[in-house]
Amino acid sequence: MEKDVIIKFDRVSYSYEEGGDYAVNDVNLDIYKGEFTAVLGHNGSGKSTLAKLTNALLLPVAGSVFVRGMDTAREEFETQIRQSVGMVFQNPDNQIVSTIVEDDVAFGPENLGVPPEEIRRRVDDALKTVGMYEYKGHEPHRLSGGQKQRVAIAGVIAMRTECIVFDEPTAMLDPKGRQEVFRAIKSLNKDFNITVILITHFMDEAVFADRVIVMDDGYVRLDGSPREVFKRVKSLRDMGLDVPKPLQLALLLKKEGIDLGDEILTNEDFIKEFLNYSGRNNVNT
Amino acid sequence: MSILEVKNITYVYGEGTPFRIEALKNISVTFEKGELIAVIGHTGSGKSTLLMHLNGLLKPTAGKVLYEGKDIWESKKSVKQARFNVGYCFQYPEHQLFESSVQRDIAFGPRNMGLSEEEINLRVQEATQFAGIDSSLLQKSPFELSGGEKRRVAIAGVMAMKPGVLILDEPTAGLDPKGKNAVIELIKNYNIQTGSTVIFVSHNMDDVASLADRVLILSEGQIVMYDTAKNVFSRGKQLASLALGVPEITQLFLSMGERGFDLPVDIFDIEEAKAALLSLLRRQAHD
Repeated sequence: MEKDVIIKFDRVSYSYEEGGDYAVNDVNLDIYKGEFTAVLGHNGSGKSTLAKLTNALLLPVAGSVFVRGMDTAREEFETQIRQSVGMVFQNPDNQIVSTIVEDDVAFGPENLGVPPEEIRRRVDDALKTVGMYEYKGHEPHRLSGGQKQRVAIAGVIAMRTECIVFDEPTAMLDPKGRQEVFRAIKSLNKDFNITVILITHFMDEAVFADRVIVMDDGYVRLDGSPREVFKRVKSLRDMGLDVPKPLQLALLLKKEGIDLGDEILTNEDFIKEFLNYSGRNNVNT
Repeated sequence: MSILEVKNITYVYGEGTPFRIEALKNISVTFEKGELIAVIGHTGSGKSTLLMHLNGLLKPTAGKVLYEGKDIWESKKSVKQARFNVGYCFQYPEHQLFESSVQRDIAFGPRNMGLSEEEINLRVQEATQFAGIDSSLLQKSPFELSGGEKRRVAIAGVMAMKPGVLILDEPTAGLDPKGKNAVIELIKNYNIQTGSTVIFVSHNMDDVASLADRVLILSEGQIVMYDTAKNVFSRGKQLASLALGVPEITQLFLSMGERGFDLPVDIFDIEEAKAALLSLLRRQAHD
């Protein structure tokens, strides 16, 4: 089956100052419907710039970005593009505009001119999707960071976007908030088939993606499944990135002659391979 | 020897309003000189409220804070002195950079202390070294630096005041792995070389595991644990019940323990983990 392309980067470059260094450099990229893509890279690698180029918050200085075939540089498509690709940012406090949770979620669809009864339905659905329905009458500033971030996500879902770009959505949250928000993001993708682009520093989030893109110096350096990408330990470390802890441990053991393979990303993988290994080992001895 | 002592403090937000919250409930704790202490607890547990008491940013509703045995609220002068004795580096401190050059930003604190130009320059140099900031950056505007560099400049500004106790609120939040490691090294070096007490808040258990001598856990305004990092992380299940999480390696070992592997529960360092697994395999081979 042919894959359905939502966002297309065609030789895209961007620089913040005329004649300055490129923050994004000659990037070609297709993002497919239903895919969960994680984007990794150190600070200043260009990943947030890449995110902002996806829905016309920034426009390329060279090349073109297409959302559902619409060129983001053409103003007449702007509303449609924003309706197709939504964004959630790092700081939940900067994204809340209303004094009541449900009003905040309604803000996006209201601006799109959606009829009131339809808005009602969308707001309720969106809040249920992120598990915040019972807080619909609450004041956002009394919620925890994780709850606020889920309200922000509901606001994007209520616009019925088919793709959401998350720019380090869990960076400012405590472990509990991080877990809540990450669970909500996974569910959007798996249960509601929303295309997800997740920009993150957390390797333990990236291992759950279908696809991992690594950026460095504005270039896309690696692009593949988590297993393919995290095998490139040396390149990752050279780019100032870590590999997931279970894989780090497996690599240390390998140096001691205990080879668990290089397909280990999660704790579950590690335990499985360790069981296999010790099983084999016992038979041999 | 203790440097800072908190005695039976209670703190109430919004007294007399419907939003009255007892953020700290009769807390007592002693911080030893030269120790590196991590404070953990989920949002709303009272961490920031407690820390803001340590240098007199908040005045306890009841109870006392003693610096080197003396009540910091004894006089107006002693409160002001507490601000210099206990340096406080807020969350995202780089948002508070404002001077025209890195040099001037780091010098701001020492200048406020009324030190001589010579002493100020010396302190800026020292702090710059700790922070691993290249001296070529000193004349640049702080706004030209990368996120990780800005964070280190902001921390250096507090260090330059040479506080007896340095408090850092989530010093590594939002940094990439490289920036994070640089800040961790900076804190370690500062603690070792100056012998100053460092108290830091973190949500990242791996940072806590790699830095802290001692871990203080708060929940709902009360202390639930105050012990060495090793002892605290060996109680992984209890930490999980407080929704705090454990270092990634500890989590792996807990899961392996549940599957019947005979492994120690107090491991949080990757080298220790390797040693424990090697020893397990050796034991299996002998059976």
